[in-house]
Amino acid sequence: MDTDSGPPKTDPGVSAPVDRPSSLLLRLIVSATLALTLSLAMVGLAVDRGYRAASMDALQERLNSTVFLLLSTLELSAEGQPMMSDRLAEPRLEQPGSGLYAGALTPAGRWQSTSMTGVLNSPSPNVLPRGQTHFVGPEQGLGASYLSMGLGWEQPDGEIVDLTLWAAEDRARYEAQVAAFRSDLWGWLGFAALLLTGVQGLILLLSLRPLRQVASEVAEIETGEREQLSLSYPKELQPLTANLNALLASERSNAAHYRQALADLAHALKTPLAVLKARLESGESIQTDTVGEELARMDRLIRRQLERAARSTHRTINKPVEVFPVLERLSQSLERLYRDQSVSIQVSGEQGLSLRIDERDLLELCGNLLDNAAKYGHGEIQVRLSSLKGSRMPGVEIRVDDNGPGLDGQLFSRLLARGARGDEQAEGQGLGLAIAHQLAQAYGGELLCGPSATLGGASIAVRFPPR
Amino acid sequence: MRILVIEDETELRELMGRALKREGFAVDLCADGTEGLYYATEYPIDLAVIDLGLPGVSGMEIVRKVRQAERRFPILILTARSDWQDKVEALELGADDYVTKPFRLEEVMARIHALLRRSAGHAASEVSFGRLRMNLSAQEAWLDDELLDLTAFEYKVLSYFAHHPAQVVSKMELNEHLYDEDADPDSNVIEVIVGRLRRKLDPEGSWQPIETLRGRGYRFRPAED
Repeated sequence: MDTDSGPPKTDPGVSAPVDRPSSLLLRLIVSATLALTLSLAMVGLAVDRGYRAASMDALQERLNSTVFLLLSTLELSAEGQPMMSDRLAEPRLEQPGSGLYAGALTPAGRWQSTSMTGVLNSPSPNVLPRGQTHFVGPEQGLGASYLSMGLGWEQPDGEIVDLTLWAAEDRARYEAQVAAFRSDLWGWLGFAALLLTGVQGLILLLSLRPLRQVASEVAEIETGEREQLSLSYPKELQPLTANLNALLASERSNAAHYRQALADLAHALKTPLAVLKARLESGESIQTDTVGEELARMDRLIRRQLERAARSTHRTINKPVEVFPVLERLSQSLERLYRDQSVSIQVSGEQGLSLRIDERDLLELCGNLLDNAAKYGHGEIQVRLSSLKGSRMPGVEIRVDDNGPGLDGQLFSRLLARGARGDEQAEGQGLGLAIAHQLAQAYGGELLCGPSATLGGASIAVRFPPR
Repeated sequence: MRILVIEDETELRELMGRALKREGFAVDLCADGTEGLYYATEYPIDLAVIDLGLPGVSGMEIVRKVRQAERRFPILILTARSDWQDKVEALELGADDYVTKPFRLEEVMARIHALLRRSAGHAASEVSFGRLRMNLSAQEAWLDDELLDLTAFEYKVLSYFAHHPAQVVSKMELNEHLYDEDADPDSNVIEVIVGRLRRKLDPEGSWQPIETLRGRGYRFRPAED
């Protein structure tokens, strides 16, 4: 019985859960808001802490002043009972339940300010040894904060009586003060956070607008409404948009080249096919030689057109390739190939020069030039690599000199033109030169020909201009 | 001379095998890389023709391994791709020449002759050894400018001597290089052929170009030292 034990098959109609691509804008806004909130909260906490410490110091200072105010007005009876000689300069001490209280203690008795009248949970400090001060702040959970101070009072008879003076303030006052400050502080901080988040969002929207523009322009290119990306992008995006434009242009040109090559091939194959067909139809016996020749011709045509199509495509993005090692590899390989003819190839020039080119294409270009020099020269070849000054990237010149019969300028142009047309007659030297020429052109370079100053034969240079 | 052909296309392999045999070579044919590599490293091969696109071990890999095993015979590469990248890589690995497909058999034969000649240290296809002159491409030999009438096997033996002048060549070596793997040579045949060659090259017995070294084999010393 056939049981299905394989992995579960997915229904093509039901889309698998896909990670939703998160928005760049959303990501930036969320992270910026988080950072902002966190830093504002930390600022708020630090300010709050500072304010509370300052308030506490102020409270202690106030209670201290009240104690000294008390001391300036206090008197002791002969029995040591504390009493006030005059009205106190602080009216809140006279007003019941005002929130500010004061008192004095001796072993013989005590005195309390009028404000203590009716207050239930009043502070009840103990007698302190002379010279000691005791402060209880609002944070210790009592109903009031107080400060008490232990003193010695000298009676007229010279006796020293222990006296403790104290002042207290309701916690509610301190708490109301802190609460009012906090509400102000967090209110303003919240407002600032909202404002900053808004401004940030606006900045991000503006900054990301060019990216949205790229996306919409790419969509327009896909629908055919637009040929390429516009040129008005910020400096940071220009390398991206320029490369995209170059890539698009090269894709279009490649497609056109392939179409053209196919059309050329179809057209060119028709002639040999017609010859064979006509021979067949004429009823004449066909010679093996004729078929062989026509087959060889068709093979040449196919090869030529395929090579031409591949070479005339434009390459846009390539990593730099060091030219000197490529020339050295080629010269060693060619010396090996042409051992019988004792070909000697001397490579010289600037060693560190690089070219943004596919290495396979560079080998093909230089391979054809060197192969030509080996085939048509008399064994001596000089290859020189030099740079052409440029602002961003230097240009490169590769010059191949030989000691052969030389190459006439007009013939050179004719050979290149034949090669460019994929002409069947462009065999031998012409084909190699035409291939090199097309490859150089595909990378924005050119092929030049002249007499060799050093070896007396031909001097062919391929030159990639600086950028 | 013994030629190894490693080519996976049956038609082409058989065609090359027949053409090489017509030229007087002993031929070993291999259809895949693994078998080809075995032949190339284990058999006394004088030259290998290797296709780059092989099943199993690739042509490049065979070239690399053959050279790693210190086998120095010439290697001719067959490739369907004509770009320099492949040519340079193959040459760097130790190949000696290449032919691009599709090719004419005459061209492959010419390259094979040139490589064999080169490996024997002869620059041109016409070589002379004292009174003897040979054209290695045309497979002809002259004694004092008179064309020698040699049988195919006599020429094979003479040609092997010409590629290994002044070297000791054992009967076993001659057997291995003049017959392919399937042949079952009779050891007396070599002696008979060498005897006939001696009579044809030196009818008067005056210059004795082929020495017999007892228990070791023969040495071809045609020129006066």
